[in-house]
Amino acid sequence: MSETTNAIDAIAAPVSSPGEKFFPKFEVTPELVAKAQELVALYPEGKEQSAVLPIIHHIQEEFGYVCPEAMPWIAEMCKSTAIHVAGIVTFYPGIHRKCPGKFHFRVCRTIACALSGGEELLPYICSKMGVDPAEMTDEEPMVVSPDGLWSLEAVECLANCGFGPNVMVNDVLHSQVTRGKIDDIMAACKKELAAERKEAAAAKKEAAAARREARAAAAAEAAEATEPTAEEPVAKKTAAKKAPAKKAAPKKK
Amino acid sequence: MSEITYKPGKEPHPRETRRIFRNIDREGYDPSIKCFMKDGGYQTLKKCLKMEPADITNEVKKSGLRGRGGAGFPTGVKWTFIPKGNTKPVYLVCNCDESEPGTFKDRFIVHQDPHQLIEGMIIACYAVQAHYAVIYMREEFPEAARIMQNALQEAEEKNFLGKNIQGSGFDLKIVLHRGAGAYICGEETGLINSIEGVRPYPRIKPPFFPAAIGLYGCPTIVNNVESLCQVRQVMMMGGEAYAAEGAQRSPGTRIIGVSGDVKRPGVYEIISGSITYGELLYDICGGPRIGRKFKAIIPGGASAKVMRCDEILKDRNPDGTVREMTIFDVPMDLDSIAKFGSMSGSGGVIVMDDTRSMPKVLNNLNRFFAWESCGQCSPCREGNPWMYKLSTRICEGKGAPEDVDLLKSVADNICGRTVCAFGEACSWPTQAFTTKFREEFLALTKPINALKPHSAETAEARKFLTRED
Repeated sequence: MSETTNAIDAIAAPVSSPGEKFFPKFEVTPELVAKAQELVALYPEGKEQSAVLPIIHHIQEEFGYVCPEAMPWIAEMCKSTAIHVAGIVTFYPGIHRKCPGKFHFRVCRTIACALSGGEELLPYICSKMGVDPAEMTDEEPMVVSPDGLWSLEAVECLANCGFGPNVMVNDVLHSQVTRGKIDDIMAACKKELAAERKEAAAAKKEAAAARREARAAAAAEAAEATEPTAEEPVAKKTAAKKAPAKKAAPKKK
Repeated sequence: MSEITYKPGKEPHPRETRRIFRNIDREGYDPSIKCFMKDGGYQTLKKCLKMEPADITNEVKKSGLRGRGGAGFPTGVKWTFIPKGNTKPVYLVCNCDESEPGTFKDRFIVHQDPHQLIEGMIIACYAVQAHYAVIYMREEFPEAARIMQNALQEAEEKNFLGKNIQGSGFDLKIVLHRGAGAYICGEETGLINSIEGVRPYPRIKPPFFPAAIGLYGCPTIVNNVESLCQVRQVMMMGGEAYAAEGAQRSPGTRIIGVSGDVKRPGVYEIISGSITYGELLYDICGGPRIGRKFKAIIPGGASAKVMRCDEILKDRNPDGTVREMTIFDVPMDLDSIAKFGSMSGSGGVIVMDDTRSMPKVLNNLNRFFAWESCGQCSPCREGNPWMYKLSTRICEGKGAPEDVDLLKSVADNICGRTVCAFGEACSWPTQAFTTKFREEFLALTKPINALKPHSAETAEARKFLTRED
């Protein structure tokens, strides 16, 4: 087992990225296992390995990218080996081994989009995001901005050739993109982020209020009780504290 | 049937015949099953479920329907390749990995009319008696994946999928499988390997085609999205009626995607062979942009050989006399263009006007192929980056005249020496561009460059090669 893990480390060493702060860290939860089992069940019996790609997609949606620790777990779910999963992960350009930013831009640079000016958009987007275009190489076509908010990847054909240049932001395709449109898209992204943060802050506030209320109620109860036991209010307090404090983690849509 | 209205600005051109694209950009149409059934959807399936499976295959064979993925293999004939007396399960895979640059027809079907594809798939599955089918969708269609998943659920709720479909005793399960951005997964055996969860290296095809040994070692039929929609169309119209329309050897409608330097690029559905390339580009697409002239056309997706617009093509009339024409006079069916050394492939027409530098266009294509080579066969894995390097060098003005010949010779040596058709796909553009636009390539080169090192590394290496005694 340890040998397999070592081989994986050699192939897919962890790559740190500023985008990580926008995604939860990979951890195996019962929900994740249940989802993986559901995906495995889609395929004929004994063909669990087919679920490798679907599970990888699910992990990418949840955690942004496929980290080295995820591979042995995927292998376990699909009754495959970790090195085999690493082989799949390293093959496909659509699987990230480095965490993308909160807003992942994919700019098509293949012939039809190039004819309509797709490649000229790249330096502009780079300057808007504050990344160095020279960092985008053939080996690592994705760059992440230092604040982790943006990432940019030059990709091949997005199959909307008649209406180029095409840019995909997370899951949404934008066609006939111009510099002005890029500005609009980025402004909309920032708005979305602000709204999300506001929501998170509101949720936090609400949770705090609920906590305060629960504490007050517990105190009142304790005062009301003729013979309060020492443990009772404390136990209630911690229970109330635990329940609503779950902050919604920002997710890639 | 009531009159169909389309969204403003999205009306079909009068020369179009919308069959597969009937509901694309239609006013008030959504991808729900309710909308589809109101429009007569799933009626053809109900009719087909009462027929013998072999009769459906015969009907499709009679229609002369040819696959729309690029190779143009007769669909009905493909279905009959399942070995007789087969006891293994049969699988059907829908190839929705539309990744050929210039092709963008399937996108509209899966985004706007998913039930049309599902109905076509169920009919095809019933014909080949497959009880398990997979839609292989490319990763770049996340929206479509959601729409399709939803559509599959709806179809199951209405008992068009699942156990005992509409009381016919036929069971079918369709699974949506998403790819992860690899061009090679459009190749049917690569696609099968991708579904199996191994690296999508294409398999050696003869002697065993997927119809005999495919997914999980069982007979597997792989059909393109448009082909499966056409199957539904065939069963709706009847094989003979379908065969009567369009070009004799490739009947039915075709969906053409036009991109590049035309006034109105887009997707158009036409009767096969009913119009020529000239009519498509000038009448439907509005001709070149103001003040420009057409220079070159790639007629069938990025891997088809480029055609010069001023090239004189010689064709033989039925009476033996020679007729001279240009690319604009060639009819748009599957075979006509093949006579002149190119192919009509998946129907993606890429147009370039006189402002374009051909070496740059080729360089872009070479980068695409170098990036997308799966790495299984050495000629393709090593040759493609080499071709990309050569064309980059020529574009940067650092090439020597010999480089143009070298470029072509690398392409010649990849072609036909690989497991899958990628070898041909990547070498045809280079072969065609360097032969047909040779003067443009040569104009960028200088003889003196042959004596100069190409890069810092080669300069370094040269130090060891030159003797100083």
